[in-house]
Amino acid sequence: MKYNIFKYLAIFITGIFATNCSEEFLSPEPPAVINAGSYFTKIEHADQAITACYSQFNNVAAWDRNLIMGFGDIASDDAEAGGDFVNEVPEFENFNRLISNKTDIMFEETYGTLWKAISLCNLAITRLPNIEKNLTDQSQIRLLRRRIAEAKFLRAINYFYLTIVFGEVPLVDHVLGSDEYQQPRANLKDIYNLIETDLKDAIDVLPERGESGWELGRATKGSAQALLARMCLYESSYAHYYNGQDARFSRLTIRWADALTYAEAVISSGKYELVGIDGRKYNTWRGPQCDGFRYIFTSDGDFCPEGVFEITCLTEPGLGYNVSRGNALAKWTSARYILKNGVDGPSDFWGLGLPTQSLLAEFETGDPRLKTTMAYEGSNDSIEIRGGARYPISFSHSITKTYQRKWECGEADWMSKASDWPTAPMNIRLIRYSDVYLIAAEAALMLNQNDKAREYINKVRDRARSCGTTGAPAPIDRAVTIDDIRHERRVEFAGEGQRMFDIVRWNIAYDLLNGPNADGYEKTYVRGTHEFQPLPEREVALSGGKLQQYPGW
Amino acid sequence: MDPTIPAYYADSIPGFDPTLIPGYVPKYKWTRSKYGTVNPLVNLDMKNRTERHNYLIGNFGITVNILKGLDFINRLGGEINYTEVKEYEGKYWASEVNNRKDDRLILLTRKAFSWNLQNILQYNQSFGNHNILLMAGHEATEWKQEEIGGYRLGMFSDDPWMLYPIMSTNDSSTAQFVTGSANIRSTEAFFGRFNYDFKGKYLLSVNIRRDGASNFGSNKRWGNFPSFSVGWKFSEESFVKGFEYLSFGKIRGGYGKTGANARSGFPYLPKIEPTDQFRYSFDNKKSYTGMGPTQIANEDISWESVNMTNIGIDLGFFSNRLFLSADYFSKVNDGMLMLMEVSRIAGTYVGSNMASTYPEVNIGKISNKSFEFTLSAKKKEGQIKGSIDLNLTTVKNEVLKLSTDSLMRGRVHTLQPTNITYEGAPVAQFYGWETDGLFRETDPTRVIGGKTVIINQPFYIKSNGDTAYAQQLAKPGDLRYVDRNGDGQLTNADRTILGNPLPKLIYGFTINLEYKIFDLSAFFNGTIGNKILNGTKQYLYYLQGSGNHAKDFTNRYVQDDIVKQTSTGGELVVLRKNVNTDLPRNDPANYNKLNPFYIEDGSYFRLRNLVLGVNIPQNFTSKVNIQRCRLYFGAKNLFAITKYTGFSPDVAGKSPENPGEGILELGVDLGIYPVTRMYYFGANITF
Repeated sequence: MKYNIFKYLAIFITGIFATNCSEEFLSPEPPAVINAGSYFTKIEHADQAITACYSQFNNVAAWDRNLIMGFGDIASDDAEAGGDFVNEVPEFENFNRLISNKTDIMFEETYGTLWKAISLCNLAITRLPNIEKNLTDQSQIRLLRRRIAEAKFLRAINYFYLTIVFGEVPLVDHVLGSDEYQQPRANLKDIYNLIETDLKDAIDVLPERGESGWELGRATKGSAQALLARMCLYESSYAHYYNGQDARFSRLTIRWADALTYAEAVISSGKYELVGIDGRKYNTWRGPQCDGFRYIFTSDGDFCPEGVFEITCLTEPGLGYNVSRGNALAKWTSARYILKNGVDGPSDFWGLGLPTQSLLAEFETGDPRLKTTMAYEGSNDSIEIRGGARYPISFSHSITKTYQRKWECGEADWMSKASDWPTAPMNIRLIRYSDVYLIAAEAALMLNQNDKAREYINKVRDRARSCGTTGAPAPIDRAVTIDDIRHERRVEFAGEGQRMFDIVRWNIAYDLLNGPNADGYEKTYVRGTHEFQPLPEREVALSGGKLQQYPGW
Repeated sequence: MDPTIPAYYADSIPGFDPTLIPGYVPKYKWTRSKYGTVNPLVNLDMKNRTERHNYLIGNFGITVNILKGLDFINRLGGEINYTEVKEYEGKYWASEVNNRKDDRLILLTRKAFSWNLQNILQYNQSFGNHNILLMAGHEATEWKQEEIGGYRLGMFSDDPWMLYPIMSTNDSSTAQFVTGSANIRSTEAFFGRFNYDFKGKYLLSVNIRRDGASNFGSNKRWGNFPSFSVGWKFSEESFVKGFEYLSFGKIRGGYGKTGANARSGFPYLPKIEPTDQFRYSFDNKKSYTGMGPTQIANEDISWESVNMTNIGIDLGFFSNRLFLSADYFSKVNDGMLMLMEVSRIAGTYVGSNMASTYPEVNIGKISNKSFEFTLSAKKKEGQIKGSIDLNLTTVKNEVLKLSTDSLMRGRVHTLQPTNITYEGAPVAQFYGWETDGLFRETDPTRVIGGKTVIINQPFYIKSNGDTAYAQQLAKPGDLRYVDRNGDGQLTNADRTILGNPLPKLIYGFTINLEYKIFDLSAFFNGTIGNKILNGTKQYLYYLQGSGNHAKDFTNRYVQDDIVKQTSTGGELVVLRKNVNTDLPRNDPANYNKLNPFYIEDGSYFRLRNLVLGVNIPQNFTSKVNIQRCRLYFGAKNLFAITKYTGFSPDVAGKSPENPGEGILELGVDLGIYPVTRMYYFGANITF
């Protein structure tokens, strides 16, 4: 009897589980993940996908540190690597000495982050249009189209930065299949074509700044127009100044007129303002009488009408580095040493990206932008450190006897806005309105429309003058030259990561960079090599021979 | 950390300002290095973490005897694993970047439940000298896991009985956080077996298994895995009975195929997840979580099969006092599963601390062939008793097939890649540039474009007629790299194999000796023929930033005296001119290529364990009612003989026998924690 009970029990248990044993048993619903195949059906999915496309701007290492401070400034004649002593941060010192090490993590961070954004955009641009057939509400359809246009803008801006740092890169406009991971460099013209198509699509759909439904941190029609103007300026410059001497630029064409058209479209929209041109003062953490140019570089100036496209900034507790972002430049570039009661002491800022003496000399006497841009020996500048105390800046450890000041951030900001990660709360103004004017001025000059060029460059100088009391910089009252443009761009955008890319497109990097650094290190600029940084060596290794470094790297 | 810095500051913490954390009085004053790195003691002092793992394991089995020799076997097993983590970190301030303004309680609960069920029908019968076993069965397993975790800031007190999430009045949304996840995996198998032996002398076993797993897509889910083995105990045969010294003899051989499951969950599925890496804020007030792909899917992923072939012989002599085994093994991992590194153009980059997005793929075929010998001998001579056990294993590894040209992996600081794997060669060989001494101050030079260039080195003529030298920027004291392909340039194409991290031979032996009341046992082991990439040299010979350096680094090439100003205004020669050396000058841009300087012989011979014991004679112990008492003294890792200059040659923790991520970057020493020498003492007492 007992024996039988077990027998039936065994059969019973077996029966229960036997019903499970089927293909169904081996196909459990994957918990807590979404199958991409069944995603992208609702308007919410479009929002979620586009948020991801923007999210890669949060990588402060790639954007703030490498693109702006490293490749844009330290590599150029504007800044030295800096720090406590020469070679404190070897990777930066390497850019600074034109001996970039292609295995340094900076290259992979930057290349990887820009490509991550592009791949997220590729996914969104490919899949989001399918949502439209599920929508009936016209406002939702409009929103969906706007989201797709944002993805196109973001794909364009990430590609643009790839091309100015690395030159030719692979061209990928779709979600890659498993047999497509090894790609050669594409011609710059083909990449520019994609950027241009994307931006034109975005211009058609995106709202103007300030239009109803516009959200502060998103790309606008103006952002897309300004970026397209910048791209046309770069394309024209490579074509004009290299004039067939460099095969990498051989298919690029001169299109100053397009650069001018798109820049003027932003200007004529009337949505932006050269902040401070009317002499207005602003209330910021620095005080109630802050001039317009200084105000742009405070968190109070976030989303002000100077900003054509900004990277937003929000530090949240619990979210780490590269996920939640603050403006890392405040920490990294502000003065490293201060004088406490006459004694040298650390400020807790890092003092990287030291402005060179040649940049200091570039400023006209009395140009009020100098004070916002940098401190130098004899400038009697002080800096507010954490805790709120203010001390004179000491230059004992600065090899250039200077420090950057654009990204400084006060105690009130640290306490009220920044939290766990000690980076400042301040947006990165990736495209400023003054840039649009200077693009227009340069394009007009090259088109022999000198009056127009003078009008636009003087706008920027007017604003600078209105921010000070010295009457400088005076308006230009003669024919504008390319040197005027070069001068103006250098002093206007110092510390904002534009200089290296500018001097390369003007083909003057060879003349400016050959020679000694502040520590006496003799740099050698090799044509064909140093226009662009090396690709991450890992990418070359993974490419099965398809991807090649430029000679010299 | 500089070892001369004490752990705590004696009086106050430089830079600490009480207003930074209201109400906080520093309890510990951790020191910082010159460069601001806080003493790692901070984690030990501040983090209070408990992990509780609760397992409940149950097994249930029934065997029903249906007919004589025919059994039905049912086995049901289950396991519940319940994990609780509680971590509390109080307010502290160690530096401007290393501090905590609000104390934080973290809780995590993970519950995993798994079960497996087997139903087997088995027939076991002997017909005279013929023994037969027939078996057929079915097996199913399932594993499910769920996790919930979160934190809360601003606890009421740090008393352990107050550390529950409710005990905080800080209700702001940023002061609390909840997250959770889930996972599931199931497998199913059908299997059969046929065993046959005749008098226990001739042995045959045949197995077949069909395995299915939820980790693979529906078209690639199942794999078939047969195996068989044969054996012949020839010592049972009458024709060997005459050899009296032969006490045991057996020849055996077999072939078998088993399956290995994927490592990641649902690798065939294109997954979209809402993770922190996809967050963004559009107004600087609130951030939104975006959704994006988290792993590249591989629809074709399927079972990795492990094919084992072996032939072996066992011989026992003199009543097995001398025993010898010799085996030949061949193991081929076919369709080896591995996360495949994919270019960043596919969106595979993730910022810090985030999982890989690489697809898991069946990447290739790797073969391991080895001979294995074991020998053991025992001998007793009067009051001396001794035994020795010896084993030797040869290793031969070869990549038979690879789904890509080559795989280059590994990174040590600026050396990247370190290892290369390609078809027809062993896995993970070191890959870099050969060198040919240093450039010297006596080398001929020429001034080109205002710069002095050393000219007795490879060069090529550029299209504009200029001469370009392979190492145009080289200065005396720099390494001369070899231009292997003779194109006058130093490029990736000049790289070559610099060594094999796999040993040719692995060995070990144990010696036991007993004399009267004393016993001694020693275990030695080692490897022969493997190379190690001494990655610590990248830091110790790389004068940048804030690290410490090798003593030998002072023997580097120095062109001119290095002079430093002293605080009193005098001059101090830090390092004299030194040009008669083979260590390159301090210019990382020159020696950041992987070259033979980093590759060292990793062979070693080590005394792993030594034990000396003494049995206290019974006539002493019996007086205190102790039957037996043995006291012993032992030492582990007393010495190692090796030419390797790193901490320890025991680097090859990743074995080619266990394919997985590590197999492609073998033998790279990133400064492993060295094996410790240990002395111990003990007693075995029987009452």
